[in-house]
Amino acid sequence: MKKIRPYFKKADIFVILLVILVSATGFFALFSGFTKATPTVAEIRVNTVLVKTIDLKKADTPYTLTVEGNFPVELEISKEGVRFINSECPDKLCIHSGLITSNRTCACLPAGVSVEVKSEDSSVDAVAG
Amino acid sequence: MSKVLVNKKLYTLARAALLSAVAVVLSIFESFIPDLPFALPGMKLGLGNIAVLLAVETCPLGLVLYVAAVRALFALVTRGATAFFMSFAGAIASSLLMYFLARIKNTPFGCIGIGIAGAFAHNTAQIFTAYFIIGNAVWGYFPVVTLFALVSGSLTSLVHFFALPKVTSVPLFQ
Repeated sequence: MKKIRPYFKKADIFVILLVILVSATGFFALFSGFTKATPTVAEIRVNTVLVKTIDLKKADTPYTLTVEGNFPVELEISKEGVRFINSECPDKLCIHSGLITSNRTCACLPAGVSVEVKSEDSSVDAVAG
Repeated sequence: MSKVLVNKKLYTLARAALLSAVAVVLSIFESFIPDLPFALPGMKLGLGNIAVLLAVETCPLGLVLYVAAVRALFALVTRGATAFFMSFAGAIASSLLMYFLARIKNTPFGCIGIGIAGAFAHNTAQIFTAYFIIGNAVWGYFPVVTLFALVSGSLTSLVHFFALPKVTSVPLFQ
């Protein structure tokens, strides 16, 4: 008995369109949150608990900060933002993500460490005019 | 119980065992592929999904979930607990959806629709799992991984499309 299932049927169009739609909505939500505003504050969480809030404006010279997550993770704090520079996790996804700038978040899942960078402007939900 | 029936049960079990092994081998093979230069971290083709797709076609639901669970156990052994939870949630969600789409009577879906839906369910379930581990920081990945499901889903379903007639011509799968 040979089972044949066609590679493409009409209903597949709907699956593809639905996925594109969901993804596009996500992109829209993501980019509408982006601003070029100067990053001011970085919030560091370990397993969803806020452990440290850093004032980025005071970071004139970049420095390294070690966060004790499920294992230690090294962050580089600078005026431009925050980046993961060292983590013992197997895939190093956090490090490859690069610089975390205004209104962006990034996490190292195995360590349970997440970083959220905020700018002053983002504290205001909407500005009239 | 007649001999034929016992054999049939054993055959089904053997199929699931074989496909679990295929899933693990494909996962190992995938780990040798370097990250695509343009890809965001964590994007994987999900080649193990090919084995799950074949299981969807040839095994009852219980055994499809079994193949999915073996994939997750392999992730636990090689990549740790975080990878296990992510893989388990993704594999279970995608197998349930693919099984449903493939088995409804006179299904209007072809290989590509089932494959993409499976990849989409897989990635979405992973994002939700990650949300429980890490919180809001994961949503930034959501649009990218859902879009990537189109790529990985089309590729795995292409392999599935060509492999299925060959696989079902083997006596074990008849």
